[in-house]
Amino acid sequence: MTRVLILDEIVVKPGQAAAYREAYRTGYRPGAEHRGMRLDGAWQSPPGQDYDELPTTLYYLWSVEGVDGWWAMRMSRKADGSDERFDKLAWWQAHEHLTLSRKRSILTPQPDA
Amino acid sequence: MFVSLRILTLPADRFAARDALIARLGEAAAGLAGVRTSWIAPVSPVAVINAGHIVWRMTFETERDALAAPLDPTWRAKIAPLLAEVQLTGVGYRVTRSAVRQAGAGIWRALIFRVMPHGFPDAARELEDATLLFPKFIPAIRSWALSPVSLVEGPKAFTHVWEQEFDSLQGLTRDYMQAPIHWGVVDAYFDAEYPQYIVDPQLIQVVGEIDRTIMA
Repeated sequence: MTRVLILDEIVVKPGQAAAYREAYRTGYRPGAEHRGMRLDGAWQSPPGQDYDELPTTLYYLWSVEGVDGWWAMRMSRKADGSDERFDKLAWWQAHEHLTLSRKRSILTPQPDA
Repeated sequence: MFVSLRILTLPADRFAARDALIARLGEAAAGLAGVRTSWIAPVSPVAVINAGHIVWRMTFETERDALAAPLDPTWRAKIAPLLAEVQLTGVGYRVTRSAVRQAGAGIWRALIFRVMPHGFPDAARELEDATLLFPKFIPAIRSWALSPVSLVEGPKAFTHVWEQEFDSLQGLTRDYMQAPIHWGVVDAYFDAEYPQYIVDPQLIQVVGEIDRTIMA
C-alpha cells in the first residue's frame, strides 16, 4: 500500500530554531514513532546555519503505512487505553510560544508522475 | 422540517430492559401532538462514540412544535416517567442543507459535534463547505444533512449535526473512512495536531439500523 506522507512546516521565531528542534526531537518524535509515524527527512530554511535575526522554517516529512496506518496514528491510545489526542494537543500548545505559524499537509504521490 | 434528536443513556441496572423501553417510548410517541415522524432504535454496538444506548429522532413541522412536545399531556403522563434516571443528550435543529433519497434497509449515522468558539465564523464555514463535499466523493452516502443546532439538552453546547444514511455499515466503516476527502481534508478540523483544529473532541457518533430512509 502507498505510504501516506505528512509534512510539518513550522515557522520558528528568530533565535529559537535550535530550541524547537531539540523539543521536537525529544518531546514529539518518540510519541510519533510510537504511533507508527516514520521520519523520512528533516530540513530547514534558510539553509546552512541558524540566524538569531531571522525566522527559520523547519520541515519534517513523516510517513505512515497507507490509510489504515494514518487512522491508527490518528486514533492512537495511550498504554492505559485512554485517548492520546489530549497529550498531542498539549505538546503542540506548549511549544506554540516558539513559533510564528505552522502548517501540516497530507501528501500522496501524484497520479501521473 | 425541525428535528429533535435524543440520545438516551441508561443506568447499568436498566440496560437489560432497553428493548422494552424502546417499545414503550415508540407507543407513547405515537400519541404526541405535532409529531411528523418518530424513529427510535437501539444504538449500534460498533462504530459509535459517546452514543449511549437508545437513539430517538423525531421530526416536526416547526421548532415551536418541537418545543411544545415535552409539555404535551401524553409526554408528561407516559414518556416522562419512562425517562426517569435516564441521561438525556439532545439537539434540536432545522434541516437546512440536505439531499434525501428514498431507499430500503441500511444504517443511519449522525456526528454531533461542537465547533469551539475560536472556530467561528471563518473556520466553521470552511469546515461546513468541506463537509458538503463528502456526498460527491463518497457514493455510499445515499442521504445526508448538515444542520446547525438551535436547541441543546445536556451539558455540551453542540453546534452541528452531520447525518447520513448508508446501505450497510461498511459504507461508513470502509467507504467513508477510506475516502481521501475525509482523512486528507476534513479531518484536519477534528485533529488536535493541526492548526485548523476547531472541533471539541467530546463529540457523539451514533449509528442505528433502519429498515427504510428516516431522513425524509
